[in-house]
Amino acid sequence: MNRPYPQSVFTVGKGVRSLMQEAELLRALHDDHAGALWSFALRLTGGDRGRAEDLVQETLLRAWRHPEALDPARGSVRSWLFTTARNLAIDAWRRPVRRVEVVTDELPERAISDETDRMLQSWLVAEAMSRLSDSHREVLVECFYGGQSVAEASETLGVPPGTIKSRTHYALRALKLALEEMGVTQ
Amino acid sequence: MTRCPHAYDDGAYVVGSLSTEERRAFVNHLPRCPHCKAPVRLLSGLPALLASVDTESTGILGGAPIEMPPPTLWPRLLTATQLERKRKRRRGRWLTVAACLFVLLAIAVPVALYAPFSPVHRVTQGGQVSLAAMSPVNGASMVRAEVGVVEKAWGTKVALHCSYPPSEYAGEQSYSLFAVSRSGASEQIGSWTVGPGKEITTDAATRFRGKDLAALEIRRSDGKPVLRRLV
Repeated sequence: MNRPYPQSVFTVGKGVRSLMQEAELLRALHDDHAGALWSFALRLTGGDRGRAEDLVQETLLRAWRHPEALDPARGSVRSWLFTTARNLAIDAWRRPVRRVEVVTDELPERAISDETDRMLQSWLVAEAMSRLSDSHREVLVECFYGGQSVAEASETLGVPPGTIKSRTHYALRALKLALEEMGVTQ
Repeated sequence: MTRCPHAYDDGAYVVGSLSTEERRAFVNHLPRCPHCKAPVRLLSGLPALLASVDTESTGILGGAPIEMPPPTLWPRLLTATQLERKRKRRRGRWLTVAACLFVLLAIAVPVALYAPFSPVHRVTQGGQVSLAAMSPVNGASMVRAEVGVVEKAWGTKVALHCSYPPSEYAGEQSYSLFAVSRSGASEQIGSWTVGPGKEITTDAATRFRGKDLAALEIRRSDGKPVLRRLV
């Protein structure tokens, strides 16, 4: 999923990026991130597909304009993209046009911002989960989301209880590390 | 370091998967074991974060496949970036033109401003005096003049050439040459009349010498300076 971008994309100055490199970068951005961004954008826009598509397009364009943000050395690309999408969504809500349209059942701005913050965090944690190895993710899904005990998870996954414990032990550490990488702090 | 028998229990404890007995044992053990206390504190924030995940739409439980973005997205992206590139190129062209203009001005303005101030070539050992053009003081002036200076023991010899371009409308005009000293004092060192299509060449003399001589000025008969040359 995280294909290495052509190094030249970060190192070569924007002015000298060739047409080929730009097209390549755009293609890579689309293929790697459009899917995840689309689901996120759908949530952010409350299922409005038109606005969600605008949001994804603008987010990917920002990344294309600022390829330095995609340098893995500078942190998680996904978290940059999700954060950008969230900010764009909030900006769209704040636009005066929207304010005029605001009706009584619309959430106040502060609440909208809190809500998107929660959404962003939710997606970043999910993204961190997706970076875990299958066995680590599995054990957290069974034990935490499935509410299973060590013994039950041991049966479901077909590994000894001791293995369930040690996997949980390592999975949480890996998750914490991934979250820190993505800039999620508790 | 002796390995604690509960070393691997912290994860299962934090996500709440230990059995009641295991849990009780671990909780009793915890305050006495620094090996377990620190990690539990470290990991204790994770359940809240895990709970914040919208499991349905993020698909982390591996349920419904994540929906693909609409097929219109890619062509839209392509068009948008192409437009932007075109705009940037156009802006780049304008910037190039602007930069060229700027460089031209940066060269032309100082040249225009400072050229008149470059010192008149001083010939100290006899021979031909080289002349330098005087610059208009207040806007355009029909009369033109060049001056040259030769330093002498008694002061400065000034060579002058003054011409008036052919014109059907202008008549004869009287001019005076002034020497201006460093301290601002000025004294007239000659006067003449010149008309359209005519020119005069003459020498004048001033007591100002060397650094004391700051400028030479040609003034109209009403006293208004028209041409000047810094020495």
